[in-house]
Amino acid sequence: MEEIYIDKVLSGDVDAFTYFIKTYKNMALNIALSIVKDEQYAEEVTQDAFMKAFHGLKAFKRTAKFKSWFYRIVVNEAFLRLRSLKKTQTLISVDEGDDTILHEHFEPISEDYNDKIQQVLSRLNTKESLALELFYLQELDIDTIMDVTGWTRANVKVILHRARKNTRKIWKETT
Amino acid sequence: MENERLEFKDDFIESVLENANRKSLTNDFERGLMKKIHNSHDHKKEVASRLKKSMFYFFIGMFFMGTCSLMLIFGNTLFRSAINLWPILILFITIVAVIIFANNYKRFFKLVYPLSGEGLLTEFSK
Repeated sequence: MEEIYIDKVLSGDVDAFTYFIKTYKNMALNIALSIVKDEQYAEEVTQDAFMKAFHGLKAFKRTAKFKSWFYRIVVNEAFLRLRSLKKTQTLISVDEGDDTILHEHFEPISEDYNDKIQQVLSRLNTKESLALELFYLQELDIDTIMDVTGWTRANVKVILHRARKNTRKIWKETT
Repeated sequence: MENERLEFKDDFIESVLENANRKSLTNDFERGLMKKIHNSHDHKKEVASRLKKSMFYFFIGMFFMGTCSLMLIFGNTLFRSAINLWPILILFITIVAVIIFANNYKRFFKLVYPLSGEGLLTEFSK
């Protein structure tokens, strides 16, 4: 199915790209959110990733799945954004004499259960929350996670273990 | 693969993640993005066409300029019957080609570097 839409886009039918936006926009947003941890930045990352995917569609090799190719773009874009945000944050904190980094600014934990879950996830390290997102929510297998993130198999497993451990730890701390 | 999924089976994590609020994007996002994609696609197409045109006219200009020079060199022996009209005609074609090339290249340059020259202008106007 996706092949047809890829061919359409490559033959000049720009509107055919809507199919990919409709299919992947929310998944891309949640992956980006697990890395940048800010909804507005995640939306920008998603937009940039779609633009890059559109312009780079010619370079897409049909041997791989579109999904993993696109997720890789999202992950790269999100890490790029995170790096630039950290740089800005460092500059600001140097000016202010504060050495905290971006995701260490937490709001007090609220009573609401869903909010609590959200806050626990936002307190996880970027790699750990990304691993949880890809493995449990996007239900990707470890090989695809390796393709998407560029991590080794051992790395993926270690990060997953750590993510589970830390989620439990933060959960306990917040109760 | 199934083994790996079983290895990381974790009811607690799964229940936590299941209850997490999943964010979603509105249709406005889709429309905005498609508009942006259309614009950038049109822009890219125009850049390519301007570059192609300018290259084409550059080679036409070069070709006729070369022909014109050859005619001026060998004109006396080879083109005596043409009463020296050919070199003038070819020179005219060359000038037209050069003008079209320059115009297209200028537009191509402006498309690729939209802000180029602004600094210079403001510098001069100061």
